[in-house]
Amino acid sequence: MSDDNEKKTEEKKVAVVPKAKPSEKADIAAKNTDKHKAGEYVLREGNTWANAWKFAAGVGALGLALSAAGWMNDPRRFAFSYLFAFMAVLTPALGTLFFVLQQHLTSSGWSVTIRRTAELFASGLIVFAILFLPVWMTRAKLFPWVEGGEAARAEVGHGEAAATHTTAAELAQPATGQDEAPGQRRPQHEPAGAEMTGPGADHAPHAEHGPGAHEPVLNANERGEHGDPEELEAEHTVHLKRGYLNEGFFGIRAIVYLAIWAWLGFAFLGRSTKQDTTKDPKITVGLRRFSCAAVYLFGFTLTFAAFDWVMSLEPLWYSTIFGVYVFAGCAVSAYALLILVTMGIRSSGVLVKEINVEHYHDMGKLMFGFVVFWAYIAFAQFMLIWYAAIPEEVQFFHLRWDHGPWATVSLALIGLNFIVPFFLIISRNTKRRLGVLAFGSAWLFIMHIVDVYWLVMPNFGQDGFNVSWIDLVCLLGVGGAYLAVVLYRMSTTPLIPIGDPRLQRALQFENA
Amino acid sequence: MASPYLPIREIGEIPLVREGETFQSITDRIARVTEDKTPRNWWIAFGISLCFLGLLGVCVGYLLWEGVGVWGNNSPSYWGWDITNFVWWIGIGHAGTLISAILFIFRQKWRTSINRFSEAMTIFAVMCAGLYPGIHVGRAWYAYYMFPVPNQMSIWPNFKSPLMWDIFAVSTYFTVSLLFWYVGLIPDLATLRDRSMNPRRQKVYGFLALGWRGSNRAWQHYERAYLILAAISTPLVLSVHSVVSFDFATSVLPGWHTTIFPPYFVAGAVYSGFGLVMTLMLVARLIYGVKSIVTTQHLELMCKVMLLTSSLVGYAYAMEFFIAYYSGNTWERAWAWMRITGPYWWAWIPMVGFNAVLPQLFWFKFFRTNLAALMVISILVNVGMWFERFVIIVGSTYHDFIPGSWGYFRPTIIDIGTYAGTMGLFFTLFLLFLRWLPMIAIAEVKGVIPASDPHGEEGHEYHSNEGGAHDPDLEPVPGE
Amino acid sequence: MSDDPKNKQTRKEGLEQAAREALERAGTETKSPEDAKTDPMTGEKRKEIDGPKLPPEERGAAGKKTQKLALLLAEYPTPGRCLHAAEKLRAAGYTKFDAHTPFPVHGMDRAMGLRDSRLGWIVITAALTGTSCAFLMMWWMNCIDYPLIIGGKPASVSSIASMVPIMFELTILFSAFAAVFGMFAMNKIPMHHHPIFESDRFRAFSTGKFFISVEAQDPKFKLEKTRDFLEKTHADFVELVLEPAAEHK
Repeated sequence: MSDDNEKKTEEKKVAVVPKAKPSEKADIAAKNTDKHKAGEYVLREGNTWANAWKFAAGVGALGLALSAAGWMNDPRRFAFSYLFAFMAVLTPALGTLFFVLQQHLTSSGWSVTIRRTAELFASGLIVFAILFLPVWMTRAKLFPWVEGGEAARAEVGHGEAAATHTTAAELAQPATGQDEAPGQRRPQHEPAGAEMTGPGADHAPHAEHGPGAHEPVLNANERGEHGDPEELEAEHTVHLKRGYLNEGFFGIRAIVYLAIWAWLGFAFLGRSTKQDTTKDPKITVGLRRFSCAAVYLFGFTLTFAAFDWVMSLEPLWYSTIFGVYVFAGCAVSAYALLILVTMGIRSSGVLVKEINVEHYHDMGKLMFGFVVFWAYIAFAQFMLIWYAAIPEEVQFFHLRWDHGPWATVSLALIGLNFIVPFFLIISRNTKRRLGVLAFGSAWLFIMHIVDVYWLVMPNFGQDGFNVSWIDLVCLLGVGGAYLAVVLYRMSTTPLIPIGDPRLQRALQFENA
Repeated sequence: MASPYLPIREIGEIPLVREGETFQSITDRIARVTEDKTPRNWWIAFGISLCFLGLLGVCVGYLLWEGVGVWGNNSPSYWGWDITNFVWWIGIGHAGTLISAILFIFRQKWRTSINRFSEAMTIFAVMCAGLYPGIHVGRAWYAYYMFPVPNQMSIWPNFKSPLMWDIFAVSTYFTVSLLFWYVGLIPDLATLRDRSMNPRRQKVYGFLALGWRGSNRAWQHYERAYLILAAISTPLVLSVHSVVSFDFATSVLPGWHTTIFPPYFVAGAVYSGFGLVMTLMLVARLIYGVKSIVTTQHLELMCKVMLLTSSLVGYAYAMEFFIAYYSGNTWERAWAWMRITGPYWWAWIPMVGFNAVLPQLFWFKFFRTNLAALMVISILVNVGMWFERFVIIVGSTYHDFIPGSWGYFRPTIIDIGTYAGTMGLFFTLFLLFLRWLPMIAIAEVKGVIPASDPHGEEGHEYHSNEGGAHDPDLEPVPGE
Repeated sequence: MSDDPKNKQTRKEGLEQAAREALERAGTETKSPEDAKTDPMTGEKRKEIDGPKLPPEERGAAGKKTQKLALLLAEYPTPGRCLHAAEKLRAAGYTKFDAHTPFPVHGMDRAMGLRDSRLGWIVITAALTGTSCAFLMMWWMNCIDYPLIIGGKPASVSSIASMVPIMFELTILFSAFAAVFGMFAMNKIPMHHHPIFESDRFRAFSTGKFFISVEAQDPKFKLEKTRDFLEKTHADFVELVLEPAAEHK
């Protein structure tokens, strides 16, 4: 790093690689080994980043300790806060795995120098196998479908609370323009009897209840905990899902997801670091093939994990696009994370030339693309549910639009997770101004955490929106633990895949 | 030559255009198609297409004369082949935009050999699709109701209707595709103008080429305009089929109302479009000898895109069926079950078979490179995609919520004739395009051959781009 | 034209060899005006364009008074040489020159010192106009002039979700028009008459030759000097192009 001239000559020699015929391969491999010394891109002792894992571990330990205190203090709150933290950290981690897959699938040359950082972050996915344990242990508090669980009981209480706390004035508020449909006022109760009335008659219950927004308030007060036909209906519907939503299968699925992710993370980093020393171009070919199969595993595990851990928080609600929605968040946050981390590493004087404005320009473009993709998916999900207004579907948005503070968060997601960043990073100039891009990335990363909060927390059930210290300590705990592992590996691994045959393309990459 | 952009053979990369092609040979090869005497096969194909076009005229004329009763649409399936064909044609168009816009943005340079071709396909497919909403209204002379003009009741169109969104989406799509196509054609029209020997050709192409001089100052704005068009076409192409899917998904009908419809329709559209590009490309490659420009590698890459989009479609099928189960809703579960076991099971089998299962053959290199297999698969892809639309439209409407209003849709001869007729329209236009316009983007293909790299020349050492600070473009000229 | 053996051969040679050959070729192939007259490529059209044959007063006042001289055109066989010629012209202080290439040559914008295209600003203005037009249209038509309540969705801004698709489509439509017609305006096309078309050699620009034109209006333009300058840039051919006869006053 210190000797620029030396490096330049090295690179020149490496540039000969593409010209060589396969027969000369062994020769090249031998030559290459002299050129990019693995040690050259390993963080030095004194570098801030070499020791960053200690700091992350400290924060993580403190966070987890305080989370444990939170668990003692308010187990139900902890359950939700922890799930939120778990998902908020897991999603960008999965996004980095997607980044690696994407680069291999498309045989990208430009991104080679960034790929190692993503590989390191993906390899940290194994941590979530351990971090998942609290989610498993608190499942009865989280998921209403867990038989005899607290959540199932709390659900009922919440349903009442939500309804009684909703004033007529709030009901009249045209948050989504859909408030006229009174059936939606009872989010947790399945109004349309699947067996008895069917979706074709979805609007029939509304008619029975008569027009007027006051109706459901009265209904909720009159309703007892037991014997309400709608509740019985809801129970029955959950019962119909038992084949999927049962604890044993849930646990097995979780093990499968976590094992697959840990394996993929390891496999990509492992093969790539192996190439650092062997310089074998076959590894590139092999990883491209592997990524084709891996992307299937990734897609399905991510989707079903999203269904299991987030969508089933409201067991009556369903949306076929939900997995894609969570995926969009993964991708945006991973790009933001990679931009921020590589910029951080650069600020310590490493990788300054290997990852330059050209790479950030492309990262910015892709991040921008995924921001738009997120908005597209979010709009498709919202608009279709809003438009059709089928009661069991609208409950999701009902919770998030018709309760004051959550409506504000929903609006903030539109404005701050789409409109503002859209205009911030649409221009070529802002993507090439690293300060602005870093700001935009940090912004999007924070908004992603808000997005996850918005997905998980409305199900906590205490009406409206309340932030707890437990949210924060859980986030610090999970994030710290994950980062500690990733940063530790980072301190011992070369920061760029020096054996990749396309490395030269990344080093000389320029946006047209 | 030390450019890192050269193919790295160790990892299986090969040149995009066969080695040995020069600027001159590429120009000759492509432009000659429009200059040589019309081949006899072209006349035969054109004649057949014209017959089908005539059939379209007859069917549409009869429809307008008699009314939509001549079609099979009837209670409870008020949408039948008309909307199926509309969605099918629109979908086919999407591959063109994907290739010209999305692959451009992703710097997939292999697109240069097929983009012109598929853009033309887009435009003609959208024309075929656009025909249907017009004739589907029955009284076509009231088709202007679709546009925001007040009618005799002084009422405006209902902008909350997804069908209105469709009008805007499809007409925008057509207009933008046409602009994009024309902008791409300008430099090639200049090539035809400069090569033309007879004054009439020179005048016509010269007029269309707008006086293009290849000036770098013009290229600069041109490239920016092209980039912007690509950038706006990308969300546009996503939006168009999403809006088409809204026609169904905004309803409360099981099998129609599902949130994954927008991306699922887009993936399916791109998939079917690639199928047709592949079919047409195989034929054109055979007839016009452009094998060195549209290489086996291109076909392989197209197979991979088809594999990807087919898998996305498969994912959507899986999600639909899973959520139908997961919803615990009787009616959701019922439609899923009826898809497989109901009276239209014969349409569901090719839908899943050709769309989700068959392209999995593309995992194997043999099927990606065997031209006969490609031809068969690419045709079956479009058969499968047609059935997908048919299953969605008819398969969700033939069973109403009340068993008393269950029915069974059967197409009439006019349905079939109209569909066959749109093929005639499509191929007539397509053959005219092949005959009179360069079917491959000449200027763009030149830009991807090694000789186009100003630094790839003899004696120019390629220096590393040191953090962007070092400017490789400002190398001293040798001998200076 | 395409099969210049030297060109191919030099690919394989080293740096000096290439330079030497390039110079050689420049020396042998660059036509002096006298040669140009006899060059079969020039045909009849070019019979009156030789520099020295021009009356001295016209030559001296090139581009200022008579408009007779239009530009000097240099031809190059490869994009690289064209690029370097552009770099040198720019370094020498020429401003009204241009490269004419069959495809956009990578790095040429920087070589010529062009400013970044401003087309994006036109497009974003049009895009926002499109969004607003769509919104105002739907809002006025369905909420003000004739309020329509459909499917329980109120005739107000709170139904904005149903307006999004059309707002989006019109944004795209307006942007596309702005991009295309903005580009036309910035490039001043259609322009079917330009002196450069007087050159027969120039027709090869759309096939595989690379040209540099230096306009006579350039403040640094001096016929002899500029021609010498261009010859030194390893041009295969340097040609003087006049305004078409019809445009003489």
